[in-house]
Amino acid sequence: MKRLLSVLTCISIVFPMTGGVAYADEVKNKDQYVSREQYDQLKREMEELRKQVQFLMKKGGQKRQQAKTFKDKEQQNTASEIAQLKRTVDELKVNNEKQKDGTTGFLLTGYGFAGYNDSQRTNSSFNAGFNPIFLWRLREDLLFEAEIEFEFENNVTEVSLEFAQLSYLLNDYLTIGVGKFLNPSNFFMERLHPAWINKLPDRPITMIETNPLQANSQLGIQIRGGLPIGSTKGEYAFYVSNGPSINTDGTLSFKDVNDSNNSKAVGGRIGWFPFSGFEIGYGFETAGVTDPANGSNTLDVITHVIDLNYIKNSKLILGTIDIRGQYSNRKIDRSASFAFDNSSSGGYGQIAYRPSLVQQVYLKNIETVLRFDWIDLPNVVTFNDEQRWTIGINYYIAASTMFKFAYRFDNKQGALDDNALLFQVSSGF
Amino acid sequence: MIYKISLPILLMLVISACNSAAPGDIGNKQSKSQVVTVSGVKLWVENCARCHVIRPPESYSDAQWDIAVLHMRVRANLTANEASAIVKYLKAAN
Repeated sequence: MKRLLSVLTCISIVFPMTGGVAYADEVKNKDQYVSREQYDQLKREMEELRKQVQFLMKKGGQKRQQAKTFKDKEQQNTASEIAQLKRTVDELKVNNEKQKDGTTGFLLTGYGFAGYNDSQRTNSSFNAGFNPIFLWRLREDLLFEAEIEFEFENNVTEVSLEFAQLSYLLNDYLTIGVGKFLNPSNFFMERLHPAWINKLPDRPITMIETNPLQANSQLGIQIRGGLPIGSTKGEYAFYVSNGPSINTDGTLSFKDVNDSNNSKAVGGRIGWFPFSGFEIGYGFETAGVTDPANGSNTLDVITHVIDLNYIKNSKLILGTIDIRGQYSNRKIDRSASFAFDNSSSGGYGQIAYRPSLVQQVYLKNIETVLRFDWIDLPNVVTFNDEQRWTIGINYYIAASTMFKFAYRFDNKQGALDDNALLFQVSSGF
Repeated sequence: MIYKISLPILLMLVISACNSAAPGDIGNKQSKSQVVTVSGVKLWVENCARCHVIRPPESYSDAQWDIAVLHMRVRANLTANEASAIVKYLKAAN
């Protein structure tokens, strides 16, 4: 088409020019006329040009036709591709339907660990554990979660159900949970105790299973959630659960699956985040335990807990500082069986630093930890107060996998200290 | 007893020192057009690192993050908006 236009343009230019030349010749030779020969020559040239124009017009038409055919073909191809895409989308829709909540909304996560403990009071020993966590999202507002603990200790594999809870998210700020759940009033046990999270190989002394001040988990019902408070945020959890029972020495047992009486434990925790990275919380629990000397007498148990958590990642310190603290105080009523002030308290403070913002690849994966924990028990001969300092060095080989080396300096009043060398490798998956 | 008294004081001093300088805060350098993502990143870092080392977004697929964040919404008392922003960021970044 472009060529045709060019030719016509040329003709339109050439013709007037030819005319101009002829006129000039005519003026120059105004006494002369065009000869027959010249006339025939011009006529032949004219005829030749007409043929060329016709040829070019014909060729242009063919090209237009070819372009139209090509366009039609393109449209057909596009339509075919759209149809194919539609089929693919339909297939995806079918697959998506198959994967809807309640059929495959399942995730296996958890953690495992292996360690070595060489302490003064007991024989040195290796240990290992595996804690798979099963998460099943039944619906967008319904979650079932359970953790089973397999731990190899004392030549036997102990299996226990850490938690098994069905949670219903009633609205944006309120969730109802039923089943066995980690104790909401015990921040360490609920959030920090898993081996891949805990920065030391062992737990603070108030959380160890021989004589914990609080339960690790509760069997009952809870409500919980988070709430914006102005520009800050708060969180809450309240529960009703099977209560503890009292041992003959005045300590509490939290291992009862069935409640030992009708007095339920009622507890909870509220937390407040006044600024980024900082949280302070208060927890409590009230319960009633049956007096062994008088089955109809119920002894009140009241526990108060304060926890503090601060995590800051800052260029100023070239890394992350992690500070934790928790203090618990528990009081059990006096009775004929326990004619002493049955009050216990204890807690821990821990600080960890990891230079995560330095460039050196090995240095940024090292974390140092220092913890002080203690327990003050009733002033009777069967109990010994204890204080411990533990220093640790961790090395992260992945985000959730670390090697932990620690040494614990123990001071047990009136008994053999329990200094210990601790090692653990833990991994969250 | 001195330990028990000095420990909280020491902790509070460290907190005050760290909190006065925040040049490394994530999100401050982002443009306004990235408000949603910034919000997701910030919430992800603040809420997850509150208890544990944060897992990279590529640790899980989109479907797995839906479940994991729902689990953490219950455990860490996240509001619906917080959970939504976090999961949106994780899905965009994995």
